[in-house]
Amino acid sequence: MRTRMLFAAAAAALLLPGTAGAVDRLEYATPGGETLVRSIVAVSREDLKQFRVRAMIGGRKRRLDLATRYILSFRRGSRDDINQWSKKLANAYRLISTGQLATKENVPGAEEVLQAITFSTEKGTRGQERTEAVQAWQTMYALFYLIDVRYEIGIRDDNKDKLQQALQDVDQFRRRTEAKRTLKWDVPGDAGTKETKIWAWGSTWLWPQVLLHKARIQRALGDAAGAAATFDQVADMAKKEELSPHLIAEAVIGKATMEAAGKDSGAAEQIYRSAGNKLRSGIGSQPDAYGKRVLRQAANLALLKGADLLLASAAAKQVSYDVPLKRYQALASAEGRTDPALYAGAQAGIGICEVEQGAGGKAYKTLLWVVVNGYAYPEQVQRALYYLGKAAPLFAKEIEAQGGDGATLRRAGERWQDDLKQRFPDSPWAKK
Amino acid sequence: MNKGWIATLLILLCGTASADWKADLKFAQRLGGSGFYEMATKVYDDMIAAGGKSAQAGEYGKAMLVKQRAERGMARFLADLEQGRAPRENRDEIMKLFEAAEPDIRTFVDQNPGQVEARFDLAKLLVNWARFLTGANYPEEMLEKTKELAGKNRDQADALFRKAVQEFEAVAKEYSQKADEKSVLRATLAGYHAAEAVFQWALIHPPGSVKRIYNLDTAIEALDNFNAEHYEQAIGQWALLILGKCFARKGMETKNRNEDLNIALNYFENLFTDLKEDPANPDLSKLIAEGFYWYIKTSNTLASGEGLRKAKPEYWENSLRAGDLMAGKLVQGAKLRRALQARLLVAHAQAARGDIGGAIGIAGDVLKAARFERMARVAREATETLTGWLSSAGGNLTLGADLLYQIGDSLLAQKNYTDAVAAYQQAATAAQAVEDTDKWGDCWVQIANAFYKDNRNYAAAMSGMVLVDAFLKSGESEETNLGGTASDACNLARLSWKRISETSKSSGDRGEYEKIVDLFRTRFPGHRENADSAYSQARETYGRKEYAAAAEAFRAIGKTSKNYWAAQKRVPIAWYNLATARARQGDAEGQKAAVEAGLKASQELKVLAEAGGNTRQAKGALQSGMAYTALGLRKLEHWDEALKAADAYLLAYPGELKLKGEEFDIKARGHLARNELDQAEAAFKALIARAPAYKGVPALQFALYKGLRAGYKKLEEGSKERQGLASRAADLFEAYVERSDQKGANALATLGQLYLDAGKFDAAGEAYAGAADAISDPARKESWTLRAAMAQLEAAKLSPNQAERLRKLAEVAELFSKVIVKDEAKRGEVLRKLGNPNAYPSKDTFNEIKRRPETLLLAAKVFKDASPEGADGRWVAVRLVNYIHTFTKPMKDSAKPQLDRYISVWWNAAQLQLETYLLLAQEDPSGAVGRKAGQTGFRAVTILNAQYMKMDGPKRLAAFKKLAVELKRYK
Repeated sequence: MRTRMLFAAAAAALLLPGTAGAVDRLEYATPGGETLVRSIVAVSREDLKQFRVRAMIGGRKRRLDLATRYILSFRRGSRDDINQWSKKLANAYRLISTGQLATKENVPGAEEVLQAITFSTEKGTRGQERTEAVQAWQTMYALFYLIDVRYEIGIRDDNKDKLQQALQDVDQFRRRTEAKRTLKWDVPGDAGTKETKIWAWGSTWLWPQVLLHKARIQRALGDAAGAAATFDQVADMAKKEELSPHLIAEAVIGKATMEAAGKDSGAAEQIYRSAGNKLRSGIGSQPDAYGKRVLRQAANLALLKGADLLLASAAAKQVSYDVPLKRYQALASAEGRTDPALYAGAQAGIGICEVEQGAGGKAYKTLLWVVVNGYAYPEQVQRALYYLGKAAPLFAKEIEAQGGDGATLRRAGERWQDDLKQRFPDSPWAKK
Repeated sequence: MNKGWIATLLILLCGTASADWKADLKFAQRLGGSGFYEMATKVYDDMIAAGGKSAQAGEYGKAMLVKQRAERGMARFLADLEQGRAPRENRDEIMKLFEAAEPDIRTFVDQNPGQVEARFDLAKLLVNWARFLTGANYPEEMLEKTKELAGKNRDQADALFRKAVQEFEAVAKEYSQKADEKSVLRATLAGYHAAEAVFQWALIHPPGSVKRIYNLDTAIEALDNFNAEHYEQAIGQWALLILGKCFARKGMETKNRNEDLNIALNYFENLFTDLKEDPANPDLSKLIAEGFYWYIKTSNTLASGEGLRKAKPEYWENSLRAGDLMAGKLVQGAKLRRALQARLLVAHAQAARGDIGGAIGIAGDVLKAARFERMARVAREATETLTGWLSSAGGNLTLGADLLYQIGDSLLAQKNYTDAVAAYQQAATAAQAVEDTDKWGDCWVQIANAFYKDNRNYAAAMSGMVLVDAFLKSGESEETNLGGTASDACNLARLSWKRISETSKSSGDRGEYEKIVDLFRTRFPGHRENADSAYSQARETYGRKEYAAAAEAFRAIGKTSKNYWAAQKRVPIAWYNLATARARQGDAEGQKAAVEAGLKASQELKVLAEAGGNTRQAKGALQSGMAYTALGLRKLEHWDEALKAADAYLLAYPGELKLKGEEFDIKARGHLARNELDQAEAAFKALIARAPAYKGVPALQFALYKGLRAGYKKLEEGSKERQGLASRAADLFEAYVERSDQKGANALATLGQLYLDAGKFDAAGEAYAGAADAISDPARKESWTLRAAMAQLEAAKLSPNQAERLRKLAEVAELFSKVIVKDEAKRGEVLRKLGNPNAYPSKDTFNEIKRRPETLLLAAKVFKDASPEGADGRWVAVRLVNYIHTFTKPMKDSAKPQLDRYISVWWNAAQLQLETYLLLAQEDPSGAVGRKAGQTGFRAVTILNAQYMKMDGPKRLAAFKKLAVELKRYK
């Protein structure tokens, strides 16, 4: 999930017009939970726990120190930088955003570009160091994204070798976090591997995220026990070192997702419920409101995910719709009272169950609530719009049975469906 | 430049012009400008009729009137397209006007070769026509429509442009032969228009086409020369702009033409570097704004490389610099459409340079200004720009609540409700983030409003309730109610539930509606619409025909309601309707009480309205008050007061019949009540003239007829005055019969009587005959046939010539035949027997004759002068008298007083018989029939004279003696 977030950030940054000069965009949270965005012009420290940068604040460059737990998204490398390796990194990000991961024929993909950066030790010609020499951080970010790219290729192409390569990259990353400047490594080249000195970086805030990658790779390779252990390792590390609460959330939910796969809906729901409870139990140990909020939301998402699984099994006629309905109602009236995202999700679920049970009027109003009030949660709005189209004719029938005129409602149902296609053309709900 | 044709004409003709026709011309032009084309035509016709210069001006004005209509229609059509509305004008009609205008002006030009300006106007008409024909002057976003129209009409437009350019060139040539300042100026103007027409001509051809490029090159050459010659003049600067546009078009539409774009930039740059705004010359601001717009547009094209081979990003800086320069150069014209569009282009450049924040700021300002200036198209462009950035940023771009709200407003104005809701929802989130409760409330009101306008009523109701619930939880006071938004939201929720309940007709929805109405009234009593909620309820009560309750409810609507006056006006109506309902129930007392309440309410309304100030609504209420007062007085039959009230109303509002004609009805009846028959009739005639469809016309006709009938009955029989009144009564009654479709036998008989009284015997006969035909009752059938016969008889008497008289008498005889012999099969035979002196009617014949002496006497009188078919009428008369004498006795009998009336009948019959014998004898003194008649007659008169003691008077005796002397000669 974290990786996806980073990808999304990269894609969004590309969609936005570029900025002049080497400026990176840092999005971070405050302890109170507020989200801020700064333009970063220089980074002087980015170890496991601490982050020190020069940021544009109030039109001036100022030093900004913050714990890495607050970083929400940060990516280095810009096409506006004069350094060629930074430009290459930016190029790799562009290739990732366009889905060009592997090299095809003579067109280099992100993997090839990133690998070239990660092993580079170029010092540059004299006087041209600023533009030609590679920086340690550039190799670090390159390897970080390389792991992700290889994992994605492995999953996409069902390529176990690529996953194994990604696992080796994780190991390489671990080695390079040793407190050394360089280390020797068998670097692959056109004429086979060659032992070369490569950059090491010491402690880095990216390491726990690499571990999350590792867990996913292990899971993809069928090493469930190993993956579970890695997820636990991430969660424990994040808790112990007071790292980002997102790491805890992703580790716990990642593990639950893995464990729930292939189980029947009841058991799977229990797993998500346990994950949610586990996350909830960790809220108290978070040092700030931000951490508490992240864990609470993650816990609620896990609970909602469990309820959605019950809904799916009802759709598959394994259980009656009463089962998910009761669960959604329980969520809405308990945890949902303080979490609008969960409440919107639960309301959407309730509306869907009501539609399937034929209670058109109730369903219509419930789902409408999601469209009107839950607009900040597009996933919920999409499914609500889809089911509004189904609820409307049922509601119309109810009205007609009372001697009323249901024609307007029928038309309304068609209009909600049209809205879904117009507002969310790429949504799976729009394509149903 | 296009409006001065009248002024030009004045200049051309003023040397010898008189003030009168100039004033007429101006007046007609103003009429035409205001759309009063028929009146303008009439003025022009009058001018033409006056002859001389006036006629010339009139002819020219008339020719130009069609052009004026066409161009006015086109302007309105284009303005509607610009605003995104459905055009009010019909495009085909406008085209027809253009087609009609050309030959008119051309005829004038041909007949008046010295009138060069007319040729100039003709050329301008042709350009406008060609551009409209091809959609070239349609808004830019209607590109597809323009393409379609251009594709369809290009050949025709080519011909029009060709003619236009020729005309402009001819005008320029004509003026250039003169040396005076005015002619030089006109020649320059025509030259400019010729070149501009070529540019416009180019644009009707597809981009990149040979014709387009050829025309652009031709225009460039012409404008270049023109500009070189007139660089110092303002018109030279306009030429520069067109020149730049020619190069810009060429550059944008053909690849690898960066060079052309750069030349265009130079031309545009000249405009805003050389010129300064001049408040006295707003055209200059337009020129500068246009120059900036095209400069930035061209520069942006180069920078983005759109349609070109290569982008040159450094040109973004050019655009930004131009934007900065524009801020300093354009102050007066900063709100011009082109200036705002130019700023939007600057925003694009700013965004492309990475300053998305700055770009949003500029686009947001443009949006606000465009909305303020009501420039729908620019607002739409700005909104699209902003929403485009928002959607491409995919949630990574956050805008302020104010700007999002503006975007929502703009989308709402464009009726893009779905996106408007999304914008307001985002604005609500942004407002909530900065704890701006008022803005948050505004957003939710607008969300509800957008849903409501989009007819998504459940969603609207739910959105409204978001605010209401927040208010109820907040514990805020009713006055503040979340910045006044909660009450608005509650009102929208109420309206939404109203719609829902009305369309679904579900009792559940109705319950929801009633709940929200209750909430709205109790929690937001101060809301301006709250009174309207009461108003709506009052109307619903009225709709349920609970009139008394409705009247009270309308009366209770407070002054704060926007429907205050509407409600007050409904109070008397409700009472009057109650009166009608009670009348139907037969509750006379209740009816009277309701009318009295209605009258009181009407009078109160008048008083309220008089004190209500000079507002349109108060004036309307006063009018209603006056009308309803008259109505109430009429219903109570207080005729004097009703008449005064109706007169007062008609004096105050001579052109408006609030009661749809009943005003005159009241007047007519008022006069009738005062026995002022002439005035009553005059009021009725006014009613027919003003409100012929008034539903009470037949009733009033009947009332008037009755009034007139009562009037003439009082007058002396046979007097002309009586006949005159009877005639008017008959006319009214006949009109009533026609209008109310009451053409029954009784109505016809009544009409017959009226015509008899009026001395119109023909009409009376016709009416009675119709009545007799229509009735089945034998007694009335006979009676009306007889009356028809009598009327015909009178008509026959009045007939001016013998033939006509005889014809009518024959008709009368025919009628009497029907009366005296009912059996149609036997009628001919009976009459033949009666009319044959040698025949002796049988007992059967005797039985056929009706035993009614008066009728027989009348029949005898008729047959004396007219013969039925196959018989001698005089013998019929003689024998009918015999029957009379058989059935009646000339005596008084106190026991049988009805016999008294027979005495005169008996003697009249006797006299008629003697006269008939004499007539027969005189006609044939030597013949058998004559002799027989003379002998029989003399014998009869001798016997009768012997009974002189029984005679009904000395006149009769004298008449008989005279008859005896005459008959004696033939015995």
